[in-house]
Amino acid sequence: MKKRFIQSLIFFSFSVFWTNSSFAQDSLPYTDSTSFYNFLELQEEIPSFKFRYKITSENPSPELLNDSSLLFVIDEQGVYLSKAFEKYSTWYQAGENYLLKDESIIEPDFLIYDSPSDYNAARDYVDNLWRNKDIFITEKKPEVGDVLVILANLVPYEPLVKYRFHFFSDFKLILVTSIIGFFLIMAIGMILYMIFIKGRAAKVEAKEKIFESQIVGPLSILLFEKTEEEINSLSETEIFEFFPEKDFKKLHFKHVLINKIISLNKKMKGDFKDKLKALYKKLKLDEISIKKLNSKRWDIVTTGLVQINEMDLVEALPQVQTLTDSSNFYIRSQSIATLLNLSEKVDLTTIKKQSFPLSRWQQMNYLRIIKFLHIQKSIQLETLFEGKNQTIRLFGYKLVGLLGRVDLLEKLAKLAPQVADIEKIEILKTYQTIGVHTESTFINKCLRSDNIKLVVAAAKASGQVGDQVSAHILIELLNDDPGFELKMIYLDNLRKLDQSMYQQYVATKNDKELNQINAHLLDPLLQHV
Amino acid sequence: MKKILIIEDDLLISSLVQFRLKKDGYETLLVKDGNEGTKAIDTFEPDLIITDVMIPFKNGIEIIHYARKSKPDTPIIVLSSLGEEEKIVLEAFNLGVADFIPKPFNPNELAIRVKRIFR
Repeated sequence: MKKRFIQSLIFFSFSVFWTNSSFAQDSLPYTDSTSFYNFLELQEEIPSFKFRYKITSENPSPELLNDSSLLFVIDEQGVYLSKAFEKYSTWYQAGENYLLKDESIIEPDFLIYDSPSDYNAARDYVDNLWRNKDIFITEKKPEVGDVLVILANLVPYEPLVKYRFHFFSDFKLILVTSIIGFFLIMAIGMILYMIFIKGRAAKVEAKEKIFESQIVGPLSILLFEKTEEEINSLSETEIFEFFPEKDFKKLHFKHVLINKIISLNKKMKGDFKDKLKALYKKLKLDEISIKKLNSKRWDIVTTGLVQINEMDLVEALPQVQTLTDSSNFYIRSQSIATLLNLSEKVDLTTIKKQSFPLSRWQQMNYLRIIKFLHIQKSIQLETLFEGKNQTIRLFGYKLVGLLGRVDLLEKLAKLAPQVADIEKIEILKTYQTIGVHTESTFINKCLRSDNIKLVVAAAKASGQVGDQVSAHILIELLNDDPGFELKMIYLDNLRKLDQSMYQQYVATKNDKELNQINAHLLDPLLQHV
Repeated sequence: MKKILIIEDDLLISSLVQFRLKKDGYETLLVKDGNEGTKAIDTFEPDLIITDVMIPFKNGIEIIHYARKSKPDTPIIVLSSLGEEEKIVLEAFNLGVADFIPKPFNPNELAIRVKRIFR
């Protein structure tokens, strides 16, 4: 409540300060009775307010009583009161002669809403009207003579303050008009831009549909009625019989043709694929795809690489090779994928040479290709162990496990003690995946490491490929009272490694937490949770 | 002349299939969505329906359901790139489709399968 009051007060004060005006006329324009009468004279008339005179003399003269402009009448209390005047000037003129006399014969009296009121009541009433802004200071109107009116009619009217100047002098008005104007222009601009873009897109789409309908027929004839050799021996004139020369020379038509051929290549199999590839080259669409590799826009380069990959354009491989170490992630990924797919010579040395780290997405992408590639040719996987950056070496260790390359385990064993902990973890995972029982010495060494992540990886590997020493080290680690999570990992792998040692350990220790883990590990439902 | 209805949204694929089947002397009708497909089943009265699974408005399975009610004896070949979606293939076979051809495919192989069905 208090807060709201303060807020209101601040708002009110701010409004008063900002607008530089108050909600009522603060000071009265008169201070004493003289200035009050002057004020009344200026006002001439005041709403629901009338003037009259009251005879103060005990023996009023007959002349006064019979004054036709004042028309005195006696009231119930025996006081002579004049008739009421609405206008100050009429009232004053009527009593002026008597007021100017030395002795006080009459005095002013007032009627507010036709009720008799004295000077104080009259002043209070006028005060209120003033404060409520019901009356204002009125200035005397100049007397305008006929001559002046004629002269004024001769001079054409010209406003003192022109709107133009008034507009520029009001900064708020300029600001508001500018903001509205700005938004209006922006809105109109955006609508026009959208109409333009939509119109252009619709035009391109319509054109593409026309081209597509022009392509369907000739493609069907070429694919079903011509052999690969016949396609290869097509002359330019013959090509123009299938595809109109006028349209074929347009780049847009060629782009539609490229997209359609690539789309068909994905959905067709057998000799159709070979025919499509032959046609792609015959129509010189391969040149457009290769040209895209020189573009400054990465999306165009990547599109070019995808087209080269899809249509087996091996002649572009030297150019693709130059893009394998591009600073752009997509170009790099796509160029390596293309090289791995198409080149018979290219092996994983290309990846090894990369100076940029391999992302998980890239690794997954390459793995998909390598999975098929390693069956067909030697991919030189071991070269990845000598990779410039760690991610490439890690990918190499992973591949050994994923491709089941047991022949590389010896090389891996030689490398393992020298590499960084993160690489040791990956090698341990590989040992675990393949099931390398000969590397227990390395696993035991890792179990004694200060790096907890390495210890955890070694503990997990020991569960699969550890020895008796590993089991003893695991018990030592358990005796050091590690946290709950580590305790569970150590116990789980001790159980996998040596069932009897595990049971003996659990039986000798009277530990509530240990019993809980034991119950969890032995529960067939919770075993894999 | 046997009549074949082809329901496929890819104009290029459907045109190639149509071209190949016309060469074998079949009368073909090509429609590009499920709504047109159901209408054509009633009006064209095909002897064989070849439909894709992923088509606008009504999918291939809905087409098969409709065809089973409207023309229970009309054989259907499902043509789809969702070869790996075992659930769809099983559902299609449960509804009694004659054949399922996964994309990528060879139109000549499709023509042989069509011939086998009519035989």
